[in-house]
Amino acid sequence: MEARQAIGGLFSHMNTLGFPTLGFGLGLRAPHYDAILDERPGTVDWFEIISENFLEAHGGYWDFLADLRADYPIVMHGVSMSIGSTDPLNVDYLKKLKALADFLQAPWVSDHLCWTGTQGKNAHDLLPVPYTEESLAHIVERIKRVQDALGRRILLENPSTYLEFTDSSIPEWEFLVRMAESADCGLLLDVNNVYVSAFNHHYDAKKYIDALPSDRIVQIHLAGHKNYGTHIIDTHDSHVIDEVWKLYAYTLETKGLASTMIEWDDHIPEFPVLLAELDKARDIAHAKRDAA
Amino acid sequence: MSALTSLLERFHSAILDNESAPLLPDIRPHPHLTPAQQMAIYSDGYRTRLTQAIRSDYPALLALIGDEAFAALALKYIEKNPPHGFNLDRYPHGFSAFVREYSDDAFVADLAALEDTIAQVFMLPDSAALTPAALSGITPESFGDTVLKLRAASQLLALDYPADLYRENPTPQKQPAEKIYLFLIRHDNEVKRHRIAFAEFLILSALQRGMNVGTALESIAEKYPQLVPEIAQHMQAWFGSWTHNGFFEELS
Repeated sequence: MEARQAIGGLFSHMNTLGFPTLGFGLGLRAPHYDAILDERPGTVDWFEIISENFLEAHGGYWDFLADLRADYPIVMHGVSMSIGSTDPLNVDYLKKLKALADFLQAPWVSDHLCWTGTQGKNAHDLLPVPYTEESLAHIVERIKRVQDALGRRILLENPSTYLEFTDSSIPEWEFLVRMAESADCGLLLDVNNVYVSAFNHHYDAKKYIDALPSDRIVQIHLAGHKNYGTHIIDTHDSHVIDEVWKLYAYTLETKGLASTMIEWDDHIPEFPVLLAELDKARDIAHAKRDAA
Repeated sequence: MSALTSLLERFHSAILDNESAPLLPDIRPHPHLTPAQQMAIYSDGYRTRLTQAIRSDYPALLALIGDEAFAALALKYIEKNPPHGFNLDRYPHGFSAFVREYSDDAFVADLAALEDTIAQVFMLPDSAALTPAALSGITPESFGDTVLKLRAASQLLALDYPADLYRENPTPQKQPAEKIYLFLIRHDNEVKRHRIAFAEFLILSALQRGMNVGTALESIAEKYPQLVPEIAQHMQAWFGSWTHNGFFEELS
């Protein structure tokens, strides 16, 4: 594992929040399980799992993760914490999340700034939060309770959104900063989501990045999307587009390096395609280091 | 109710009911999309995501009835059964019962039941199979008192149509009615299906309910005396096959 972290080469061992800096990672997806186990690719420093794919899976899946964990750090990324909901936190879910995080010795656990349902029902989607003082206070309090339950600081990811509420009075970037500082959590900066939401809501993506505190950004996501002309949907089904690569470069330039990974969840390509995409991220980071 | 709770509940209802009108005043105007169009991104995404989850568990049913009919059934199911749990993999479980209720085609319902059972067995917990060595201590005298526990990741299934043939066939066709009995069991990451005789089905079902072997056989003989000769003839071979195929996880 030390050798793999050294491949990252650009990273210090810990960031200021105490999270390890891991290098360049990939989302672990079922079509690639065999290739990853067989090849143990040396140019991937770490993997990210979708937590819910494993929380209730049979033991064979946990054995698979344990096998992989022997060679790679595995971080956990969830879609069901529903931090913005006004329903009670799901204690059973949090217990299972903690058990898996402990089992994997996960460097961190992340989810999204969103909600997934109300009144006990689950939309299985990352629904938009109204950016109000009321929701900010509500979410900060819930993050603290989650962090207590999990026994660790969590990361929350900026969402892709397709509408804004008339009630929203705080810009999303300001909401994220105040949330992270008040709850003392980390941020998972999805650069593609910044691009998507900036396009959809007509704001400046660089201004968004500028507002975020470097020391809170623990991880970066990159992904593809689908542009319909009038709006963009975050689909994770294609290559990262050039504009997002440029925004990633800008992020590294202005915020410094953070553990970076590629998400590809639909129309998943052959594993070498993902490795090549990850190489692009690494090349950009190297170029930024050399320029500095 | 707080303003936040009210807004989230109205938003969620707009998705579930596919009716955005009550929420439109809450959505900020957009230069290119109406509030209804923006809301439709979420409402459509909800239905697409859940339909996709159902499709992934029922591939043979999808192939049998086609995209359009499958989508219509799935959307009706989604409308009547909004998901509650956090695990999307579990959501399609209720779909087979829904198909049985709403489809007038018994073959279709049986195929859905089979695919549902396969998906369920895939998710059940692990347990190690009893080894032949562990079973070697059973004597003819102790056999009747033996309690055999079926593997956790297994399920018995009785169908009126041989839906398993449909699933196996590369150019599937509906089959005529024929009662079949299956024992489904997961080994590693593969769910295997074993065709079993009606008498085997009865014995394994009794064992599943916790009966010892002797009581199971007695109760079957009492209810189905016509099966006694078949059981007497095949019991030893069945038991050998069950143990060889890892049907049991514990004996006492």
